[in-house]
Amino acid sequence: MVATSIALEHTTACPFTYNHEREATPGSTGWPRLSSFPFPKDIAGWTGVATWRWIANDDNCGICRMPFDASCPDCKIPGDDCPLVWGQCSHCFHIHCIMKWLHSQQTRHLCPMCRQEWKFKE
Amino acid sequence: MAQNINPFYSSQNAPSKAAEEKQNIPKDKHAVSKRLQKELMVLMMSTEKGVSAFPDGENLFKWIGTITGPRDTVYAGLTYKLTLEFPHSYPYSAPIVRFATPCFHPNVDPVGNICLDILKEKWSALYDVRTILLSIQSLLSEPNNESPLNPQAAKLWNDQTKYKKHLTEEYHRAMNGDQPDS
Repeated sequence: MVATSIALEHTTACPFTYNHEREATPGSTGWPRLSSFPFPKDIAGWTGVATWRWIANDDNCGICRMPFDASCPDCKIPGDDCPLVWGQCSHCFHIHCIMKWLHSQQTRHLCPMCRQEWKFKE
Repeated sequence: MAQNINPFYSSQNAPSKAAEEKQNIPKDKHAVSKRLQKELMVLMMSTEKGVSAFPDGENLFKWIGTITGPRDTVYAGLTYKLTLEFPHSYPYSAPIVRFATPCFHPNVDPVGNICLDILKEKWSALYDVRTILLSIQSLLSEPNNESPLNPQAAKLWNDQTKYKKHLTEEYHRAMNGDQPDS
């Protein structure tokens, strides 16, 4: 349910690392040889680099004041381990922050932003 | 936690992060200092006049705030110091805010306790030092006379001239001991 309300944006770049020591012998290294390269080299290895960010209507979590793209203060790794959740009122927080807030309220569970009853958006 | 489970219900059985945190005070305290440091940064960068705050010495959990009386009100020109004490559960529970400078006001008692809903049952984790001080500043000129902590002030409020005279006298007596002019 939460997953449907999470939007991740991915951009991927793959910088290639060339092995300059070894002159290209087709098939000898097991790596593909790309004919579009300006000079023939085998690809000795490559590293994928991806960036992501949350698409939310604010930059920071109002409860902990940390950026949404960083984790809540209790987590070390941002992203899936410290996701964002949206309420039906459209307000958004780190899941750990809003859960702590809801647990700290004795009677009714209200959104800390608009005081409407907090219901998770599904 | 699996993302296709409504975390609100699943957390009833599974040990929740919040429950874990309760047993882990040092970690929690770290989160509170982190947020307080952020608030301090924002306050120091802001050019807002009328409210300011700074930690009281080394202790980040106790601050001294200052508010000036709103313009065009009986409190204009008066400056008040307040103390803010942050619990380790901040911002999930409100700080304890008191007037350090004696304040003659319908919703402030003789020892400086403030009767303000957002510091009690209307507290929200989104409030911070700045918004608390702004709320107290506007409380000065918009008292809630229905449930006064200082009935004398509440009674006097309707006569603003008399109120201002009494307020100014009390303020200067408290600040410099009977020297209204300094």
